Amino acid sequence: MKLLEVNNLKKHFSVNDSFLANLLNKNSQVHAVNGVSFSINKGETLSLVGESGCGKSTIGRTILGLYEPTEGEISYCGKKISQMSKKEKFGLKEKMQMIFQDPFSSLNPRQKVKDIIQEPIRSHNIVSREEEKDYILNLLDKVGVDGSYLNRYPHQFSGGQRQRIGIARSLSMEPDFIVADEPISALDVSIQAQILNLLMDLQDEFDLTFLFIAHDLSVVKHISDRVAIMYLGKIFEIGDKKDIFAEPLHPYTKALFNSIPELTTTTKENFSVLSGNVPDPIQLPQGCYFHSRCKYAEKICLKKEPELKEVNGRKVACHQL
Amino acid sequence: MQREKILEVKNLKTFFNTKDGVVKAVNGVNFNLKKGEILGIVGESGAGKSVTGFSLLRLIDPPGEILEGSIKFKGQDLMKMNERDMIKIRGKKISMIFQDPMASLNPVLTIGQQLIEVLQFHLNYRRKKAKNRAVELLNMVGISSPGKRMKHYPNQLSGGMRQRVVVAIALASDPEVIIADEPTTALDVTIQAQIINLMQNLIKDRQTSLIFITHDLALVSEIADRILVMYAGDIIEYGSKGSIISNPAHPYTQGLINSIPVLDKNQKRLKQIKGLMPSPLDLPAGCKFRSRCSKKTDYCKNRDNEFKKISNNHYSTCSEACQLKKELIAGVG
Repeated sequence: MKLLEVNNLKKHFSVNDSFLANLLNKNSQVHAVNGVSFSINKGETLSLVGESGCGKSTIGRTILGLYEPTEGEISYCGKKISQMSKKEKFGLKEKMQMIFQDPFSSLNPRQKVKDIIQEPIRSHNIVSREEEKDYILNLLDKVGVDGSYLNRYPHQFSGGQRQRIGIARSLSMEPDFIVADEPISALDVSIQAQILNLLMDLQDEFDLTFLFIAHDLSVVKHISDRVAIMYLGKIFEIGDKKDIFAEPLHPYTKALFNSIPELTTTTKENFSVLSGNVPDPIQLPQGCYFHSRCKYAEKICLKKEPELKEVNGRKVACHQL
Repeated sequence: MQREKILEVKNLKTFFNTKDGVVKAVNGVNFNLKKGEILGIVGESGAGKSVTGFSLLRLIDPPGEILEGSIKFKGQDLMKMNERDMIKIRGKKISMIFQDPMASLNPVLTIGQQLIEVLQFHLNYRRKKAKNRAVELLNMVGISSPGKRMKHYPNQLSGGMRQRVVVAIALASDPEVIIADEPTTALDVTIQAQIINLMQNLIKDRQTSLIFITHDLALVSEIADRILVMYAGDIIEYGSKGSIISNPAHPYTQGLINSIPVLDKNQKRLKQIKGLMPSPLDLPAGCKFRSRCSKKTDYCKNRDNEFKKISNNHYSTCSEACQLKKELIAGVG
C-alpha cells in the first residue's frame, strides 16, 4: 500500500527578492528541487542520497509542510495534502514526524526532558494528564534513556542521548511516517551504530515508514529497502537497494560509490575521481545536469534532459542506457 | 628498508586547566614518523587526536599547557626551542592543514596574497618570483585559470576549491612534514576523493611525511601506512595498517571496526560499543576503556599503560588481547 506519494515536486527559493530586483527583473532563484516523483509503501524505508545541496533535506521538509511546494503534489494515504482542510492538516502532523540532524540545536536548552516530550502530547491531546507521566516514561524506556533523567536539561546529556530524546519526542505522536534527516551524521562512530540499531528496532515495533536522508552510503545500505540517488534537485536513479548496490547504472551513482572510503588493508592507489564541482543551482545547466562532469557525455546530453526510465527493474535518468 | 625517523614524540602530555578541573587531553603519547610515510591517527571526538597535532607545532594556548615530553624533529627538540627558532619550523618545515577551510583562510585577503605571504616570509622570495610560484602552486593543486583565481577572495570559492588552496599554502614552503587535521570532513564524498587523491600524489612526489588525523577509520585505511588509535588521551594501539584492520587487538579498535557498516556485507544488526568515553576531567585509573569493555578482568583496574607486542609492527596496550594471542600461538605450536 502506498503511504506517501510525491508527484513532480518542485521547490525554488528566491535569493534576491527585493522590490528593486523585481522591478529590474533581476530576482534570481535557487532551484533546490526540480521535479521529483516517488512513492513510499507502508513499513518501508526509502533513502534519499546525494551530496550537500542536492535538495534532499528540502524534499523532507516540504513533505512535512515546513515549506510550501512551488509546484507538484504530495499525497498521504491517497489524499492530496494541498486539498486538505486546516483541521486535517493539523491531524496529519501527528502522523508525520521528523528526526533532526543536530541533536544540539533541535532540543530547547531551557526545557527539561519531561517538558520537551510533554509539549507535543498536550497540544495534540494524545493521552490524558493522569496517564501522561507513565506514557513519557514508557517512551524514554523504549529509546533507552533512563527514566530518572526526566528533570534534566539537554546540555546534561551526550549527543547520542540527546538524539534518543529527539526520537522519543517524535514517537510521542504515535506517527506512521518519519522523516529522518541525517539522524546520525553528527554523532561519533560507536554511537552511530547504537542509534541505527535503535531506529531499526523501533521500525519493527511500531511498524514505521521512514524517509531516510543521508550522504553516507554504507549507512544507507544498512537501513533502507529502496534508495534514490539525487543530484542537483533531480532523482538520477531509484530502485531496490539490492539492485542498486549490486550494480549502480548511472555514471554519477558509479562515481559516488567509488568515492566512498571502505575499510581495507591495501592502500588505494587511485580514487576514481569526478572532476569539477556541482553546477550552480541558480543557473541550471541545459540538458542533463550531470553532463559537465560525466565522461560519457554526448551531444544529446547537452541538449535534452533525460527522463527516468525503467532499466533492469529500477529507474534511471541517463541517455546512454 | 629502514627509513629515517623524521619526527620522534616521547611522553607528550597536554593538559587544559579549566575552572572545572584539569582536562587531560593528551596523556603521555609516544610515537614516531618516518620519511615519506602516511601515519593515520584515529579516534572519536575528545580522544585527543587534534590536540596531539596542535601540540606538535606548539600551538597550544592558555589555559592549555604542554606539561612534559619531547618532540624531536630531525634530532632537534622542538620543546626546547625558543619562539624565534620555532617560527622557522612552523609552517616551513612542518605545516598544517585544518578541518574548516573557511576558518583557516583569511577572509579579507585574496588567495594570491595569502600564498605570496607564505613564500615571502619562509623562502624570502621577491614579490615577482613569489607571484609566479603562487600561480604554479595553484595550478599544481588543480585550480583552473589560476592567474584569475589569485585575485579572488575565499568566499568566492567553493569548499573543495578552498581546501585546495589550503593544501597549496601548506605545500608552498616545501615542508618535510604535513599535519592534516580532518582535512576532508567538511567536504562531500566526491570532493573528498579529489582532495585525497591530490594529497597522495603530491606527497609521493616529494617524499613528504603526512600525519593524517581523522575519525573516519575507513578513509584512513585506504591511504595510511601505519595507524595509531587514540582513546581518552592515550594511544591504545598502533601498528601497520594491514595488521590493525585485519587483526585488531584492542577491544576498542575491534568495536570501532565492527560498528562500521560494510558495503559488501549483509548485516542484520550493527555491533555496538556500549556506553560513552569517560570524561577527561575524571579519568579512571588503569584501563580507561574498562567500563565499556566486554573482556575486562580484575587486572584491568590498575594495569599500566605499556605496549605489548602483538606481532611485528603491531602493539597494543590491552594485556588481555596479548594474553589471548599468546594462548593461540601456544595452541598452534
